[in-house]
Amino acid sequence: MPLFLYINGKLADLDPKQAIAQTKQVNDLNSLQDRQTSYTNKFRLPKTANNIKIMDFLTLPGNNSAIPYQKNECSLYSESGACFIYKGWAIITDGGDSYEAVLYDGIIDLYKTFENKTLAELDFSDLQHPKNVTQVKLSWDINKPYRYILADYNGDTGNTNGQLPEVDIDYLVPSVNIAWLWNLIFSTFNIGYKGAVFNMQEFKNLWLTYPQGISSGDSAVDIFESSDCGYKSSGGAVLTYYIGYNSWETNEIVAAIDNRHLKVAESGYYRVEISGNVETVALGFQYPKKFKLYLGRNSQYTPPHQVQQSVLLADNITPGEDFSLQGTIHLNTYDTVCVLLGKASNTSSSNGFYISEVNALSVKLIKVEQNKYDFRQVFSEFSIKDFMTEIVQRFGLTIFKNKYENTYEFLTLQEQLQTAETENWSKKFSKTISEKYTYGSYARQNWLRYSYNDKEGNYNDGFLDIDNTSLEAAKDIFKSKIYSPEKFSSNYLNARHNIYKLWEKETEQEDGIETVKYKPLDKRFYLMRAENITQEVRVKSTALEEELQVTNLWVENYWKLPFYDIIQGFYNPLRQILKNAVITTAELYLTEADIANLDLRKLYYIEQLAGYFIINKINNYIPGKPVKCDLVKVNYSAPVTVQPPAIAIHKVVVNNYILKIYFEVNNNADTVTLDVSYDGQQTWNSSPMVVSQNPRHFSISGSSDIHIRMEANGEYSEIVPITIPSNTTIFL
Amino acid sequence: MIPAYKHIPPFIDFGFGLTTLTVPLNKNITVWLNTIYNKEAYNFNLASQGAASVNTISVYEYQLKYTQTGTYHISLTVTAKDATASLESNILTLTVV
Repeated sequence: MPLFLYINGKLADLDPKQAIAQTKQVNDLNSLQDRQTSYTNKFRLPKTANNIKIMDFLTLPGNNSAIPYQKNECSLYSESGACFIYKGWAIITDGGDSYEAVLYDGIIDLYKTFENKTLAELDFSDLQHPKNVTQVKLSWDINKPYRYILADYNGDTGNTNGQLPEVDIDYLVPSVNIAWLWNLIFSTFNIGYKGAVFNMQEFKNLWLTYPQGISSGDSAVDIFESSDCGYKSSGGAVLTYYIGYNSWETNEIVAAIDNRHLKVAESGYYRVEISGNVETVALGFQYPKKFKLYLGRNSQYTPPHQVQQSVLLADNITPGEDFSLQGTIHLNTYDTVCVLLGKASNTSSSNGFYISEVNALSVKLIKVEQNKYDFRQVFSEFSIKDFMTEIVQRFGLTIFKNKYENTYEFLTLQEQLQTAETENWSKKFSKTISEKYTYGSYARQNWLRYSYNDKEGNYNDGFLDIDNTSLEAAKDIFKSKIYSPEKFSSNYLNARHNIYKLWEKETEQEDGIETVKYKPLDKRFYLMRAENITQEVRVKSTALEEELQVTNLWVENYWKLPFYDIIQGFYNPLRQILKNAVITTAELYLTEADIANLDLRKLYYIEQLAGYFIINKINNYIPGKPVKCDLVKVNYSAPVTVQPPAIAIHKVVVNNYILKIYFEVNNNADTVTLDVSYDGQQTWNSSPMVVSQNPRHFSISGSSDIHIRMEANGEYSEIVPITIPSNTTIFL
Repeated sequence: MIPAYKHIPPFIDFGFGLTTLTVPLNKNITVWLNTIYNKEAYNFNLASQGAASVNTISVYEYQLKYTQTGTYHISLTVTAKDATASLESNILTLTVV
């Protein structure tokens, strides 16, 4: 039958006898590792003048055709107008006397769009933020695409337990919301998507950590340093001094106004380090008088004693003793910072105050580099295709392309099996060619695995089991790029929590003193969930010298993230199919319309085979000829009806020593027995009664922790623990 | 035999599998449907008596707010559009204090 092939919008010449065999598939259940696209056999395109022109003179001497290297959009129609392929891909090669072509359609577009692209190609401007205590708190209080999820990242976590736990944000990293990232990918490439899983909590509350440990202050830069200082004072008898600089060793600032106000070029956090030995005394009596050092901001042309203190470096410093201090201040672009020395706060002004001798003094200004999270850089190692595979595998999804739109539907097998849409193909059935009871590419244990810091780890892996002794013992069907948290948890915020290693602790001996160094790790992507809790916590940054008291927090949770949970949640239908696999290869007579309108989401009923089938694959369809189809039988069992329990307690109202017990009996018993245990369920005191006595009133004498249960015709209800006396209502 | 997926009853929770929760007045709570359904084939109805507001984010996510103290029960019914199944969820217990 004649076919019409359009390549890049132009009708190509086909040999009238040319057969184009089409294979249709979306997700070969034989192979979980990847998802499949539909394709044709390799067929010949004669080198007619028209075809040569379509191929941009490919194979002719001197040609510069890009056809073999580019996306060649193709559509394939039957004579009757049935559309087999709409906007597919034609791969063209030279076959000597003719061109050779293979056509692809289905999800190939999706994979081709993402081919050789990494997550770094996305616009991460919504993730950019300066890291400080306020921003961390903001990520907990309002919806943002990133969140600082509280977890033990194996850094210097601070004192995270006790009555008022503290958390050092310097050892927290942001995590990116997977749903946001998924949406960003599809919107960036202008591709539509839909699927129920994208609305479920397992997907919406899924976060990908920044994969690198970076601490604030890791890359601090010295921008000014001087140990040749001078002083300018004001204030009468009680003098306050500006520390000035006669010369300097480093000077990367915009200006040193009056040689004492250091003007900075960039907004950010700055650390002032000052050390020395200064002698301060009372004016008349020359006795030592304690002093303080502090920072002022934008106070040029102001006498020192009128400068408002911005950051206190230290108070009550003993004159003549060595000191080494530091303080952090936030400055805006072109702000100035100055160092001041004045009388200690709690000393009297009587007898005045002044500097008698400066034995040593040096000042250093350091720009504290806040954590700069370069998502583009770290995501450059995560290809979009790999990311999509992670999601597709985790949720056991099959991808269906909308034939006429650039939209994809992601369905779980459970949704597919649930669907009411079925089609009767009994009249198209010709014969059974073969029936198999195993899938060749599976083993008895088919493992989905995480990456581990401990290479031997496997505690969060899981396997899809197939009870078929003829299969090999085990194989890996998916190896995730995502790391598993550590095997052992730690105490964090007074509860057990997982450890997601982004730092490695190294113990060093220095002068006999043991110190712990935190070495950042790299390329450690973790997935976690964020659980909202209310707890008072002191959130601080050691590097930025900031802190806040916070009660609204988000902590890590690894709920349903181990692969054994994922298999239970999303692979159960497949497990059921594989356990009793019946794969029938049948010959069917399919019309052009059947192929053109083929919907692989549907279940197809074939009376002769007595069942419903998923079409796994249609092999080499040629119009007008019978075609071999791989069919996977779906054995629906009778609806599962949950039997109500024989006897159940619904509610217990406790009023001091009196119980009022509400119950339900479903086994036609005439009498029931109330059992009460006063000794931790070792012995039970029974009190029979008629069923109609509902609710049952019962009085307990004395204070005790008791247990109750009910019995009807030898069957028992659940056991309910109750404290006597109390006033409560227990719902069950 | 494959269980009849049409007849799997819905399981709902307050997140992380929790079926009981105590919250202060006026706090937003989220009820999640954890059982996946082909939404073209089913209707969904959340029973949340006493809730001052119910915001349906999707058939899988409902945000509720209570302005009166008390104990409330929340459940969900999933009904097949072809009327072949009406499925009752578990019952959540919410205590508002």
